[in-house]
Amino acid sequence: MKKIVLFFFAIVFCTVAFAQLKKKPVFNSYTSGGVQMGQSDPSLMAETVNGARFGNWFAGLGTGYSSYRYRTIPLFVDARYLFGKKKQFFITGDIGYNCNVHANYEEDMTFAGVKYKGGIYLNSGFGYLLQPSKKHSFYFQLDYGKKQVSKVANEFIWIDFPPYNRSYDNYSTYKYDLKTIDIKIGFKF
Amino acid sequence: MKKYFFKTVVLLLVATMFILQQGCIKDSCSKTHTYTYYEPVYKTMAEVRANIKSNAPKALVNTGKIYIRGNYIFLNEVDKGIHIIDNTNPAAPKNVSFIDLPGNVDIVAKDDMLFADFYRELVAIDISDPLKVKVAKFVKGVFPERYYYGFNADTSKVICDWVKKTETVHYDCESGNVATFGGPGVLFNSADAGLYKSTSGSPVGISGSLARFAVINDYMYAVSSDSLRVIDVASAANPVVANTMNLGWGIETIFPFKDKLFLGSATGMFIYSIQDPVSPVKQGTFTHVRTCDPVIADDNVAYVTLHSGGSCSGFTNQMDVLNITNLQSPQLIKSYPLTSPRGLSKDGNLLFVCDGDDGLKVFNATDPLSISLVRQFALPEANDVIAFNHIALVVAKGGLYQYDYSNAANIKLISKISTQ
Repeated sequence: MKKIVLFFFAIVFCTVAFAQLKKKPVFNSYTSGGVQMGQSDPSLMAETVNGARFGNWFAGLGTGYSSYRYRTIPLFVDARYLFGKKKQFFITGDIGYNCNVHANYEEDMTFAGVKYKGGIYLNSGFGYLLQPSKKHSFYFQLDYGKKQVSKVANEFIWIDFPPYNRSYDNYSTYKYDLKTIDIKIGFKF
Repeated sequence: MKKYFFKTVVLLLVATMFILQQGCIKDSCSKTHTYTYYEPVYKTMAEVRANIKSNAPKALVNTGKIYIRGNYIFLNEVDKGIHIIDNTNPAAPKNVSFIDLPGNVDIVAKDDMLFADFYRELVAIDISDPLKVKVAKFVKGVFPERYYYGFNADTSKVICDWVKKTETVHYDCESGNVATFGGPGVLFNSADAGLYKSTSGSPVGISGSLARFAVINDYMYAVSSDSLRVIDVASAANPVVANTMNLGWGIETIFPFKDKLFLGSATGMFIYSIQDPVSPVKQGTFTHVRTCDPVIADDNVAYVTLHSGGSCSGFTNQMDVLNITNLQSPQLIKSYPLTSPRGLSKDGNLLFVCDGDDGLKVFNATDPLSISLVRQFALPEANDVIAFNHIALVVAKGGLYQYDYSNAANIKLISKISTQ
């Protein structure tokens, strides 16, 4: 799956790079907020993608904030293709890394520590620009996203055999693949 | 544009509903649990008994209780045996021999006879020549609680070592937590923490505070977590169990002073009179919050260190100073906050306290109401101390340290035998 996604993005970037030779780049910024819906309770999210458009192609870097189950800040590259008579439609794909900002903690009673780590960030979707011909435009976007978060929970152990010591040797690692449908409303300039 | 707008919105909603219903948004979770267990290494009882003698010295690894006899230090290597250290020159102690004694945690001596636990057995070892010790007697069944559950009792074999192993198992997150036993060894998890915790410690008869064995005159007293055993050692080569008393639960340490036994427990300090040495009688109790609490005492004052963490419950880390003039009703004089106090020892007005990772603290205890810190030595996990004859022996994670306190204003480290 990861290889397919990487291959897809390699194709996209090769295409954009090729287009760059022919088209004059135009700076675009896409900033949106919305709701992430999945198996858990809906959560708010926000993101901004900034980059250059070459004709029908756009490539940029993005970041944002997601609070779905675990708080994360994604850092990603974004590619999108605009189409339609006025380039009012677009499809988009993101790949990157979710930085964890969920607070680590230590259990008071057991002294067990819980630490969170980020993971892969993937997103793809399509959208509609309300006034594509103008410099500023609102847009709607529907995405299918996946973020990975891992949690490492250390257990405090009092070893009641030799070496009679305290230890944090035992730990559990949880890897979550969280999938969401994201509905976004954004502003492009 | 309106036409496209509404079509798009409808398309988005339909697509959303479609995807939601397809289960594409089901979160998934995988779990791996990495755990450690210790696999026992067995030897036959005959092999083990034949090897209880002065063998070649071994490096200190996980040291426990300590006993001083003349120029020799007997230092327990937890569950493995006893190091014999020639301390003729405290500035240059020599590790000269090792007694292989599996299951050994506590030691105490009377005259030339060392008494040590050997799992469920008590063994008397003649140490008149520390370089040629020999077993005098085995007494079976003295410590019935000293077994490792999860193993079938096989009296022909003895656990001599434990090999650490690590395994990782995979679960899906919806399955339950980890099993408590994995593989042929024993898995330690937080659920059974502390059930059979071993205390590490110090000698008996001088100023040790973590000991579970004590000798007064012709009787040896041994505490388990819930009982006091009285062993007649009038004939040291032939110890005989004279009495076993149930004490409740949470007993941790024993400190003998004159005709009294001071027992440290998880919930308080108990004072027993041994006017009748075979049947000690409880005289007084001082109750505190649940923690671990070694205790030492002199004529009028008892010092109780309370520490939490690990297998010790509670959140209290302090030293309680008690007035024991009236043994029936010990009264708290003052509490001193500490970091994680464990073993302690007193010589004259100097009070030595092992305060966990804060190291060794030396206090001026002339006035129990105003105990002041004289000096602090940084040591990793300082555990127990004996202050005797101007030398303080400290057992810490890093090894055995000796401090010269003949000049209280200039206490200094004079030697160290490092752990491996």
